[in-house]
Amino acid sequence: MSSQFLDRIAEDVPSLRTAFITAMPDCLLFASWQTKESEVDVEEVAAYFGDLVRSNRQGLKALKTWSSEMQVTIESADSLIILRELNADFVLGTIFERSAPLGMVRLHLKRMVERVTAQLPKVTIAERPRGARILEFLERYAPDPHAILLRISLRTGITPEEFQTPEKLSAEQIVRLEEAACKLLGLKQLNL
Amino acid sequence: MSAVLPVLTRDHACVRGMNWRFDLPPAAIEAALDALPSAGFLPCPSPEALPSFQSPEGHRVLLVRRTGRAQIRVSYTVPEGQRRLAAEAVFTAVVRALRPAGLTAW
Amino acid sequence: MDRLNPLRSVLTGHDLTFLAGVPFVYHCHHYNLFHDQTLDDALGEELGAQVRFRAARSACSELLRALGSVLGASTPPERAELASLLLPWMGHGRIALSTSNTGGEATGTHLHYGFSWREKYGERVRREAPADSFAAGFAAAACEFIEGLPGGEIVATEDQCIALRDPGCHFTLRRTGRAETSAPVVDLAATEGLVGATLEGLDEARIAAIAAGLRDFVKGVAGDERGVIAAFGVFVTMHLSNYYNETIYEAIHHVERSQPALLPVAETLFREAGVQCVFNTFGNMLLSPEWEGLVGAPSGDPFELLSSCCAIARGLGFGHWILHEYDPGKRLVLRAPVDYEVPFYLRRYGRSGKPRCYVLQGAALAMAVLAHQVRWRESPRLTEEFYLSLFRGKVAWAAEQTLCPTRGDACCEVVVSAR
Repeated sequence: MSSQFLDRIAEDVPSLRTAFITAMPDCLLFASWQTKESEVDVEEVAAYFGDLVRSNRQGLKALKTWSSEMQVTIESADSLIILRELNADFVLGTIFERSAPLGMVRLHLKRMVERVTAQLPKVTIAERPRGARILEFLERYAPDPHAILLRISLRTGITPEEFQTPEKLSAEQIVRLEEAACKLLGLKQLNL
Repeated sequence: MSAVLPVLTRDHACVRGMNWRFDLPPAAIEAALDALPSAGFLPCPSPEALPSFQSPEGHRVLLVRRTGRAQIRVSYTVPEGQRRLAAEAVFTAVVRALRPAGLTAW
Repeated sequence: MDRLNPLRSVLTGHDLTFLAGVPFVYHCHHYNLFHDQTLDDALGEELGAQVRFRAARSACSELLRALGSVLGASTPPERAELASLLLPWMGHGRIALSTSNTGGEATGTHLHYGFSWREKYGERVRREAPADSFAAGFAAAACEFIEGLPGGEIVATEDQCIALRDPGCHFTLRRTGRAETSAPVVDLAATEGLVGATLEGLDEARIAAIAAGLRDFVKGVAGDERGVIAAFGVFVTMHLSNYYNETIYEAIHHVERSQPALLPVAETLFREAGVQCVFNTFGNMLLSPEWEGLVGAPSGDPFELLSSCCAIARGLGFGHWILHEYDPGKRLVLRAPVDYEVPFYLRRYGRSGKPRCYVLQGAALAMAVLAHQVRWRESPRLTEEFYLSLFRGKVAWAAEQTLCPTRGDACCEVVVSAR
């Protein structure tokens, strides 16, 4: 989706360096904005913080204290990072300069949340094939993402052409794909 | 020579946060060659076109004679999150060393 | 290591470099990691590690024995001193060896593969297998060299590795009593017998002058007190061509035999390693203060950029790369009498039915992309994101190797055309 709507919302917010919207539960970047000086790999940041929000949700649910308006604030050496759940499908992430007064940040964040929420689409969940989800997971997290289809092809014996239609992969191919993905990422299992 | 206020920015590197850049007037390079050893920087073997020094903490400073470009090469032993601070410390030391010669406005 | 520098030599007209007659080139950690990773993709971790270890042991053994002979290191202490100094000098980190005629152990610090893997990928993924097969091969070869054992009798197992989040790297060395069958040696003498006449191309005087200056410059580049070469903004290694070549061709031949349908995939990945090399090593060299001081910052003219890349390739020992033809924005023809891959292939495997210069193919493609799609005057950042923007999906240029001496052609030729 175009990030233009976020550009309009974010560009006038003082001390804001980066804003991004992460689609859940896949932690994919939905829209982003950042200042010219910012050197953030927003896709990567959106994915990592999406994971953080997901873990946070699960932790809070385990504590039976979860609410849908959960917010995470992180104070690092030079940044103030705030992750705000907009709804079950989207999370707004903002990175402010560390020196920004907290009261001002909260005020602007509240306004941003209202404006962003009003423009988000309604999400209908479609269960995608497991093969497709494994490949997307790899493209997001594996080293050298541009080469990952070729790498996984060599490791599994499944041709890149077969990966073009992941819904047609056999159950046995999915097992091979999942095993290879776990090996590449150093994971015992994939939590998709 | 008028005093300048150099600015430290991230420079090219494959290794994240390792190289940092600032620029001096090319004429200031000669003065830097005298000033840096007095400030504890050790001259390293290097081509004449590219004088280089090692800071007391083991970071490198390279100077390009013809353009005045200066690069701070933070030691790879410094964890990524601390490289900016290490570069800023070297930068401050270099700028302070050049101040008596009237080269920097700090 | 003032004793080692004088042992460098260049095969005139071919820009192939040798140390005590053993071929070497310079590659950075991006290339090295991608190369090794592709071997594991093609062979699996277990066989991949074996192939890498054997190639490293064989190549390091050739070098140690050649150096020992030239420098007169005839006693075990002299040979041990030479071995312990060599690896850090080449930028591969430090290794402390404790050997006997039955094996021993080795401890590594800042070993190139494990150290740079952790730097590049360590925060993103967890690794399951140790990374330092090259150092394992070196340790085994060094043990054989020091103890006067036949080549191939020592095996080394890396049982701790910093890439696995261990505090350091440790190897156990064990004598098997079974010497490895020796393969035909690929050294200066063998290479001289395999190369033809040199070539000249466009902008020859500039390329030759820069290449000569660069070669002089890298003579002064050696590992620091930790055995690391951080030059031009990258971690550089002086590395043995025979290691790269043996591992690439063993992996390619394995895929040809075991899963021929996936051969184009394996070839694409080995070409991709060449792309990574030019983007990261050549690109960072061009933007470095060293280049700015010695040559001048890139002007942004594509032809100048291509010419500079040929000079870098020559300076790093990749071969006598020339610009044979250049049609601005449309077509580039890169040639070399041979590159560093060809002599190895001919000597070990003989004639091939197809072109075999994978690094050259990837490098030529990357040169065309860097020359035409990067705004050098704006001092671009060569980040992973920028790399993906240039090389992910459909690339604006296509490369094809049209001539290859392994096939009996007179030279290597790669034609790169705009799509």
